[in-house]
Amino acid sequence: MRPTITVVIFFLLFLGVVQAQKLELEGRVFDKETGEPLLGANITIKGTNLGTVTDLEGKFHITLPNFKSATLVVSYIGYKRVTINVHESRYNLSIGLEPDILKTSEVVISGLASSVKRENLANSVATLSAEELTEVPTQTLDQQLYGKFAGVNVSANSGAPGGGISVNLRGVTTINAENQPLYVLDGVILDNTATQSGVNAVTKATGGGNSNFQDNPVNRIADLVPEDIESIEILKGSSAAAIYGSKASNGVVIIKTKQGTAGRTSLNFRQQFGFNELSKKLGSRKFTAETALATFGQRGLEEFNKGKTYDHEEEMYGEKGFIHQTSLGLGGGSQTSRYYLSLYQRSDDGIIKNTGYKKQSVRLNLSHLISDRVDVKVFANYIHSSADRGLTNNDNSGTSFGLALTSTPSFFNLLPVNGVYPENPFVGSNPIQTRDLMTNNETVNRTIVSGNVRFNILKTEKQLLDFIVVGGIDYYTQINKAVFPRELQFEKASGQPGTSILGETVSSNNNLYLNLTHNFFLTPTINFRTSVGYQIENKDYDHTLSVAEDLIVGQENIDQAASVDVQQDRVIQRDRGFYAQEEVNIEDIYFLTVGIRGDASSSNGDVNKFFLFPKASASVRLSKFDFWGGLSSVFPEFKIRTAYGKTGNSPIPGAKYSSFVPANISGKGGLIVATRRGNPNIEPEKTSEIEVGFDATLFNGDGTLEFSYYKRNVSDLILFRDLPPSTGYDEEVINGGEMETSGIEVSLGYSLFNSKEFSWTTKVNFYKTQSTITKLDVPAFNTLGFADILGRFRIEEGKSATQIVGLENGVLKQLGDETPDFQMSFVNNLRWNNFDLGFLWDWKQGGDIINLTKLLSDLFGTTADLDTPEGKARAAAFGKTTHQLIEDGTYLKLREISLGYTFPRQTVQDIFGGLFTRLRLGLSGRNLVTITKYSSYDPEVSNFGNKAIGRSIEVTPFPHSRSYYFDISLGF
Amino acid sequence: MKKINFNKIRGSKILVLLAALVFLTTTACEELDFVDPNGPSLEQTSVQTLVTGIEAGMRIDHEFYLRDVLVIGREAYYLEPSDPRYTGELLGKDGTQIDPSGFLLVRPWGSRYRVIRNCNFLIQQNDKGASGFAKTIMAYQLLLNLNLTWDNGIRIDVAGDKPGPFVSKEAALDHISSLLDEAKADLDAAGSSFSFELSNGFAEFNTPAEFAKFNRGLKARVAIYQKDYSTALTALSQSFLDVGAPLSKGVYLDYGTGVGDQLNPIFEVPTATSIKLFAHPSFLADAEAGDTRVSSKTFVRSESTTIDGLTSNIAVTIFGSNTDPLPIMRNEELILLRAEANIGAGNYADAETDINFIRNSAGLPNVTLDASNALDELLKQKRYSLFGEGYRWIDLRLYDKLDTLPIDRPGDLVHKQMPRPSTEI
Repeated sequence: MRPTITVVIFFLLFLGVVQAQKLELEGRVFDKETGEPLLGANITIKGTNLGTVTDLEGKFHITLPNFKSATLVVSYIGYKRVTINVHESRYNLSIGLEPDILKTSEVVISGLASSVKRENLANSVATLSAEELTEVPTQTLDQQLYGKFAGVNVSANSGAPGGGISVNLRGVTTINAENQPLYVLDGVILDNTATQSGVNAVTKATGGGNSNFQDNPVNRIADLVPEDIESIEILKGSSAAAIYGSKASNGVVIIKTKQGTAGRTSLNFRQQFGFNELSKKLGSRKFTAETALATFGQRGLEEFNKGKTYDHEEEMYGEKGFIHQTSLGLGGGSQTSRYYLSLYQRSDDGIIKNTGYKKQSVRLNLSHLISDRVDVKVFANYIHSSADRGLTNNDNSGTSFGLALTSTPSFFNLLPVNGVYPENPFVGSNPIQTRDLMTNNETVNRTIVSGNVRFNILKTEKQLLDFIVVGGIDYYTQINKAVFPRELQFEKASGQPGTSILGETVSSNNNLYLNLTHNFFLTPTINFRTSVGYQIENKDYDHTLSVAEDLIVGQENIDQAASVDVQQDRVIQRDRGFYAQEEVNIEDIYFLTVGIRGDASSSNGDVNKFFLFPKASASVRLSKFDFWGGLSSVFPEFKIRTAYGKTGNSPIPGAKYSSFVPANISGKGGLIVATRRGNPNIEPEKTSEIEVGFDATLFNGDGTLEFSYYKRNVSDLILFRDLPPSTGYDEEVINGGEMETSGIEVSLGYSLFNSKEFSWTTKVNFYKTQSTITKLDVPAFNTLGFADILGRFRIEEGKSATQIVGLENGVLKQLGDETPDFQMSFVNNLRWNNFDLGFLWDWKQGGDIINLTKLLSDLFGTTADLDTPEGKARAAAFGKTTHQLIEDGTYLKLREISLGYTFPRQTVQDIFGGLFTRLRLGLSGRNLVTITKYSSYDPEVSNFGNKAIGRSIEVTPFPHSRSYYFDISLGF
Repeated sequence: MKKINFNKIRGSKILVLLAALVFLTTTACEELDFVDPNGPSLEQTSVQTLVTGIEAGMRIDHEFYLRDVLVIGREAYYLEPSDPRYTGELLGKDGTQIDPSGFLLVRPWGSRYRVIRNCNFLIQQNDKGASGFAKTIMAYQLLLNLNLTWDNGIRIDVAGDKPGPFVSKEAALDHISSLLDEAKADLDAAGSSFSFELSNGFAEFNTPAEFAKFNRGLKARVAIYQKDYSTALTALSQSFLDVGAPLSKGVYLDYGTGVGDQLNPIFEVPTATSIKLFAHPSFLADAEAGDTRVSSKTFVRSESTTIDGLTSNIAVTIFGSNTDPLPIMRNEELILLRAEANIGAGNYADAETDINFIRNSAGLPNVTLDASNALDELLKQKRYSLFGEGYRWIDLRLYDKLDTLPIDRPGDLVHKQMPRPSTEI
């Protein structure tokens, strides 16, 4: 039987009376596999705040004045923790650490200024390290997250260069409020706004059945450079993220960037070359004289009789876009100061001519130990990115590339003849001409700077009190420039030929956290950690969009035009919060946490009210008990855990204001009430989550198994309520609904082989989620989509929040759901001598999509299969039924594959005269295989961008591509 | 055992830090309270901006009101190929009723109440002249909505967060009438000038005294709807009725090309390839020979337009450009209202004077009026004098003569009124 707490205390009291003794310990810490010394490894004395770190040779020395015996805990990032009991002074301890392939010894963030060992963690927190992030390069950070975690659903809105990707943690959390997670980079809250480019002025996409913008915007998390990242931790649900309070309902993604290692200068230079190409072609209808005449009339027949056919898809999407990426990371330092410098550049040409993406970044991270009481860290990053995104997605003017292509039969030539682009008689634009002459560029200049200062106020054997200040700024300007010159076919036909669009965005986010943490060993086996803090978070976003029409020939400036329309939109949000958290660790068996965060926000109706977000969690390591006995051969570690937490989601900007809008007459400026009435009582949405699960290691620690079940209730959903128009208003924003979601997540990791010659590690993730609207204070309403007959999303009490409805012979019915049945991923890493192979399969089962690209080509008579019985039946069903437009979005994708050869160290040294020690050559590919029955370009699509509900609607998007790379990595 | 190792300096540091945290938490909220960065709040409005907003707002969605009453009253067709409701629902095609949730009803209805909300804010500004202006406009806006829903009534108590109940047509007319009287009292007490400027549409009515004459004109129009002829005649005597002044003298909605301004939504180039608003063919067919109002208000196009079984080639030319003002009330209407009141009161001789004045102005000879022909003659003169301004349907309904309107297609109906908007129920 294990000693109870009282016994422990008694024992300690007894110890206190015994004559004090001195214990001296010396030794060396090294990598068990290579024998190389580990510098900066942590040596702590269990049950106390005492400890030291190893020096340049991996050596340490510690003197414990009042100890008869001690337990040393030796830890180093990326290695399994080792515990050693000593009962007398030792001067030659030899401690070899094993690499922690399955990350069982990892330390995970548990609060705004505290962390916890994974063994004790009472939540499911997913982590990703640098090596897992950059095997196969991507343009943006979010693309690196595909398939790597359970419960994290990553989905691109289109294949357009430069991003526009949704990251969704544990399914739907809201209808109208923010739907993307909170990103925190080295302590700075990042802005992740998706600013519309303004091309709507040309596409008129909002003019039809849906007034939501469809400009295919980029959410700004895209700017981060994956190569700079040391680790990513994902707090998926409210139970883990509660300490982030009123912005954490969609989970929190905590990103830490790299830092140099003391005493060792390391350099990593990596050069990649590659190309990307269209993943899939849809093909086009083969016409006969009869079908040409029937579909396109006399003009169609004339064109058909010219006797040529053209592959418009090949012409538009057939570019082999060249890619190159260069990164350089340099890190090092002394025991007091460390640095990390990185330079990065990437350039992609898109699969559509004149599209592409460029990014450059510089980062400098510094840390300095001023004394053993004060340390300072500074992180600074400057990023420049430029994306040329073409003109895709829905439109109501026949101008977007895809829409124009669906309207143009294969027998019509779009290519210029003697420099003149043929006028397209079948739709308002010649997309080849549009592509060649237009501009749609988005340029971002971004600076992210943060700092972290830790003052140690008190340090004794039993107590440690730190004051930690964390703060930072995320500032960027974004310029969207779109120019459509007068000579374009659709511009010539317009009343005001020539359009120039200028969007200017200035975004400034800053936050400051003041924290006090207190670590207290009541006894060597009972540890209390208390943290309290105060948070200041400010957001200021300012967007101006100018649309100039009737451009002077050859001019692009917005003042070189006959008319200019200007709009400005600002979002200012200021949040103030506090938190307090208590963590208790008893004998490393029981781990309990309670905490609370209070947040007041300028977005709430009552700015003085602190909304409270409590949390509580507990975990027990069953494998530490005697009764576990025989089971420990199967599960050497087994922990059960349960956690509860509450988070919020801010009301949509401006919901509380009853404002006036300009209404001018006879040259006088007037004001009239806006059509939306402010709600002075508006509150954040609240999400409560309960999570239960277990974490286990399998068979001698060769495997890990994690299981989590969560159930959450989202209340006070932000909804729009129609008002009787006799009030003078159309609507107001209310808190008026509830939603329940639940799901399971399972992760199995296994080190199948692990020898010097051959190793194979595999990880399988499985996750599923579902949601139900349990209460709705307004009548059922439609969200995204264009019309009932075209399929749309509908919020209805008692139904799934993500259901798709449509008309079947006049009756409105549920016809699908965009939430997948489940998702799975398979991550594999193999090594054979100097060869390495990694691959990741990503499987989404189910999840329906409204395919309107096909509907459009059916309506315009250009779908490849339109002359088959199925095609005819489908085209004939339009207007009567909707189900033929809704397709299963199941896919299996080979997201990543990489194969590499690392040259022997000695060979490299010989080649480079000792300058470099590491050289790896590799081949890699991304999205090389996509297996799906979905009939359009790719089941990853969202016409409306990042939306909580209603992503899965496709209207002539930028198609997806696959990419291939050759990779050279060199360093020391 | 529990030997806390704080020395005094450390202890005080912690206390200072904790005190700082408490201080920050309790004081910070002031900076969270700021006004909407994207639009002014009520506190940032002024008498002038509210007045101008009301004037500008009166134009919002007014084209839908006009199209409704012109089409139902068979003054005009609105041949819009992309929306079948103008040619179907409004004309009762195959018995179709007005959709209570359709934009033809909901949009003008809501926009009038939006102006009323602005008027209610203006009344709170404690300015007699502004209050007189606001109440007069409020009465006018309520009257426009009542014109649509008539027997179905309107809501009149709409100043609060929740609107009051629907009241009957009679109660609504009483309320509008007394609102106009309250406004008149405010205007009488407002001094010699307004504290604000009005748009060009009120160019001749921009003092409390002159504006009160417009108020009395409205009072007369309402009294006639109430068939209270003596009140109407009294009000008309205090209005801007003046046979010596141009018939066009009056109050207008002004349009312009300035920033944030609106263009006249009814104007179309009469010779353009495709136009939407056409005069009903009966407007020409029923006209007396030599009526100059016909030639000045319409233009016969060389080609007819046919949509949904309705055909016309008569463009409406009451506006010469897209910045022409749109009448709210004109001298010509007041003269006809006086004739109408006199006919109602049995003073046919007085009515005859005014009717003949209008007829002569249109190049037509005198007529003699008596009980047998006076009302029909009045309605005919109103039809031609006020063509395109939207009174024919309302006038015929008042005298229970909707059955005299032409039916263009078998199965068409003449609606008596519109339903209550579904969003109000």
